Amino acid sequence: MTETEYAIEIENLIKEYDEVIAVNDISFTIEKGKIFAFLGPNGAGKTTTVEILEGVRKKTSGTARVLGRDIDNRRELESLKHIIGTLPQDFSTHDNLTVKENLRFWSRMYAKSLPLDDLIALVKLEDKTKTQFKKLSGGLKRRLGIAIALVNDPEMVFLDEPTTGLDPRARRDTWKIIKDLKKQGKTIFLTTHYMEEAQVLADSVAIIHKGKIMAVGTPTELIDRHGGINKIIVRCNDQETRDQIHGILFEMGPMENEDGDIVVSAKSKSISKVVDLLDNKQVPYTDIITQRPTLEDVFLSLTGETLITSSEEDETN
Amino acid sequence: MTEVSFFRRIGLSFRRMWGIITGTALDWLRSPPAVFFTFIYPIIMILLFGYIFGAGTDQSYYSLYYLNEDVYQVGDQIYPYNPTDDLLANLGLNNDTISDELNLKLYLAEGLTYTDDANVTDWMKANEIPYMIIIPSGWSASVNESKVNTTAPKASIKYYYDPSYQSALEVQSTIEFVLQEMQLEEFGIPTFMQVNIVVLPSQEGLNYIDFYVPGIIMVTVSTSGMMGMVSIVSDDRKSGRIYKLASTPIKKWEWALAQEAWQVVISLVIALLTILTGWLAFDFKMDHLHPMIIPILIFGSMTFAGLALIIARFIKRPEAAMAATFSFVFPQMFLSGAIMPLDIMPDFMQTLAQIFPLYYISQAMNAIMLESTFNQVWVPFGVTVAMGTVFFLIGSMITIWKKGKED
Repeated sequence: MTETEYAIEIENLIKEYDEVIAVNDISFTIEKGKIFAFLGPNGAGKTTTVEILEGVRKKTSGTARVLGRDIDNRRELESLKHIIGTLPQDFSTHDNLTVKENLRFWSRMYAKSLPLDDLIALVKLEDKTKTQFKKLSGGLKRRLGIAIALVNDPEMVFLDEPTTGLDPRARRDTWKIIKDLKKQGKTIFLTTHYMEEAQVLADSVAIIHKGKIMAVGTPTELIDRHGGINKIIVRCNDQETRDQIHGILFEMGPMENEDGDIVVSAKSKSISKVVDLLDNKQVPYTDIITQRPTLEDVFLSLTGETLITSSEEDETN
Repeated sequence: MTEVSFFRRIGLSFRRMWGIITGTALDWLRSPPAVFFTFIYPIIMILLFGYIFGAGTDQSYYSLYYLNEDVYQVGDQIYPYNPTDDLLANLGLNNDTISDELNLKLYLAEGLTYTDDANVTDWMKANEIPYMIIIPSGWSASVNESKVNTTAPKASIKYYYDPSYQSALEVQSTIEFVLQEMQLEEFGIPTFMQVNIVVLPSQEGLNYIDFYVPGIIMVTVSTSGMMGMVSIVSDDRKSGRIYKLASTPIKKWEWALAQEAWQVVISLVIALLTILTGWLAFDFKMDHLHPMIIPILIFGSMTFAGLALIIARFIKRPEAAMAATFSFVFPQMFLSGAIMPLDIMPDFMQTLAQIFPLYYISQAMNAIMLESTFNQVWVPFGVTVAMGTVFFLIGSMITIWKKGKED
């Protein structure tokens, strides 16, 4: 074991299944005490990477150190398991055990554990302590999963798709818990295919696509580097107005988004130019705004696909 | 080296094992179908075998229907002997003592008028009669004729039976035996040969149930042990719990040991239920119980749990693993000699029986409960201990916690 400023150091990590390369020669580092988001569509190789780091899956080649411990060294891997917490992608525990009994079950897997009531309070399950796991909603199950991941007071927590399938409110509740964990000094390794989640939570992001890392950096760095320029979005209510706007802004290459809004690239002073052009012709648009690029745009720019489309394709395959 | 440091040195944590045992037990105890079928199974088995093989207190009788077409014609001829009445009396008609000895009850075939064989068999089918006899017209005369004329045709009665009833041949033997006895007596041949029955001293006073209880205990322990363990492994794998466990400090052999400990607890309860049911329903003798039953149950249970781990290692789909387990458990139940005597089976099946662990474990259980010789107890017991240890070690070692391609 070596002391290091990094929670994770991965070099040339590869995972192959027969002909398929699930993780293709990836390398990156994660600083301690930060939230790291591994962003990519389903099937990109996120979970495979996480499971290799947790010691649940064997790698084909490359090196990986977690909290200074070499995962190839059996003794170091054993000692690592005492100081990490994990929330698997499809987390499930004993159906017939209550919230508190399940926490107790997992707490006994470790030599030391946090007080169970504190964990229950942390994930706001105080009124569900005697409810069986099978009777919890998806969001509450995921919150219990996070509490279980923290039961040994780990230095580092792996959260694999912690908010997938949750409603917006449950998702925001989970984000708050994750932010609180960071405040406690824990390192968080988060996998997600929600760009908003990565953008809101992460100190640094790695974008992975078809097993390859496409870019690594802070959200701002990635957007500045790969997101392109700001966009002007013109909103209107009817097709006649939409056609009129297309004609007026023809030279700026207008596009339509999925909501039927007209989108053009924003260059310096172009917002005032767009407003002038539309007002001069008395076009009845409802709103006009500028929008900074997002990680979605970064993903589109790097892969030529949208995150949502990629995820949907993977789910149907 | 103290005990604590030894366990620490090998990496065994009682805290982790206790966690697995209590978690599994609580989850299982709150699943009413699992509890019901695990515990009802030995009770059904003991009641079923107890009643089928005559362990009940009531004697069972074969119902033999008869039709007497022979009108004993005195007329001008005076016969010194009426064989028809004698035959029916010797088959137990109106005689409970003989009836008890032969396990036969005679009933008149009311409503049947004999014309030919077809009309008799139709009547039997319509009334679901498995077997019957008809004493033909002139039978008494034929018997009396044969007594004075040895060249006269044989005096025959007719026995009709449905071969789908296994008891039909036993009833046929009884009728033939009765006829032979009558013949010897009538011709004045003295009985000068007989069989004196001596029961092995250690087995004297035992009834069917005493022989069945040890076998049924081990059959139910093997079935529920293997099915239970396969179900636990499949469920842990399907829910992903096993992979979550793999990311914690628990070792897979600790997990396997804890699961086997839980299976041992279930085995002990199953044994207790089987014994209690045997005692309450069939007067099973409690003095057959011996402390050595517990280690046999422990190592027997470890054998089957270990085997289940091996099956679950190679067959990952829960339904397929269950089917594979069943296809092992089912033939083992009948071929191991635990509930079906091996000596009625062909030679090659008696040899085949020896590949099943249950063969040795039920032998050990039988020997210890029915007070057999030292060799009869210790050899199968030694094999049981060896199998329990080896199967546990193999099962624990080859169990896979790492995810594969399909996971």
